[in-house]
Order: sequence, then structure tokens, then C-alpha cells
Amino acid sequence: MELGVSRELYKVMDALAALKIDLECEPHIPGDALVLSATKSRDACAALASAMTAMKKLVPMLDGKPGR
Amino acid sequence: MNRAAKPLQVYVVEDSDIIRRLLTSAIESAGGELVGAADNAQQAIRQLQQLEPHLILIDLVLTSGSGFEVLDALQTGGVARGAVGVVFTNHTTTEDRERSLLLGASYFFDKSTQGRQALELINKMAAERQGRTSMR
Repeated sequence: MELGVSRELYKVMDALAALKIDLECEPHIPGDALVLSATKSRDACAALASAMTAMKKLVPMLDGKPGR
Repeated sequence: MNRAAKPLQVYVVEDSDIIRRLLTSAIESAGGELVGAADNAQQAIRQLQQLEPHLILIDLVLTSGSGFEVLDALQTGGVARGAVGVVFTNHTTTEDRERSLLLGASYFFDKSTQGRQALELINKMAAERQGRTSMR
């Protein structure tokens, strides 16, 4: 796999890992503890934005076309 | 330098801004202190020669160099002696894990499935240091 592709894929994985921690998805966490603070909500949005940016860069790489 | 009287001091080697921010927030919430951070191996090794953190969180994929180089410097280069090295990464093949442990990592956490455990370790180490500090 091209270095650029794997690097962008790791960015997506990092963003999703951060999102998972921010959202406290683990099943052992009680439901009433699942209240997101404004900071965590913003961090979660930033993680989603980062994942989307990385995925947008991936598309032209996988298609063999220069990025738009 | 009297390290025992200080809160948990942590250094982060991580190329992702988002993960770095998340770890910084976790360290501060636990009562610890982020003493430095780098997104590449060379900068991390250079800075760690001047610092004495208690805990070093290390990603394996960096903007240049790798977490293995940082672990090697900790193990053989006399850098940040006594610090606990923890790998926190999405590179989680058996080879990555074994190589990390061979290079002296005390823990190896998969970012995608063990994020909570990594944060719990930070909390535990910070609480242990606070207990030790308050006894003095």
C-alpha cells in the first residue's frame, strides 16, 4: 500500500479512536453517565471532521487521481 | 531534582493532534502535568534528554521516525531513566507488540479497543503519586 494511503488511514483510525473515547462507548459505563460536556462534544466533532478530511484525501489516492 | 514531590509528569509522543489533545485533557483531569510533547521521534529523543517524566506515552507511527526509535533511546540511550514507557497505537500486530515489549515498553495499548484502559492507567499512576506526595 502507498505510504500516503496508509498514513491517511491511520489518521482516520486515530480520529475514530478519539471519538470512541470521547463518547465513552464501552458497555460497562452506565447509561446515566453518558452525558457529553461541551468540551467533549466539540472534541467529538473535531474528531469527525478530521476523519472526514483524511477520507476525502484518500479517495483521489485510491482512484489514482490528484487531490481536489 | 526531587521527582517524588511532583505530580505525575507525562511526556507524549504522538502525531495526531486529536489524540494528543485527548491525552492532555486526561492527564490534567487526573491531576498530572504534561511536561512536553512531540510528533516525531527525533524531537522526542532530544527533549527527553532534558526531561525526567514519570510516564511517556508513545505512538508507533509518527510524522518522522517511529515510536520504536524512542523506545530504543529509552532502553539503550540513557534517556529519561526510570520513566514508564507506554505504547498507545493503532499498529497492533503481534510483531509490533513483541518488539515494543522487547524494547522496554511496560504496557502496550490498542487505541481502537483499549483507549479506556490507557486513560485508567494515567489515573492510577497520578493517584499513586498524589498519595505518595501527600504522605511527605
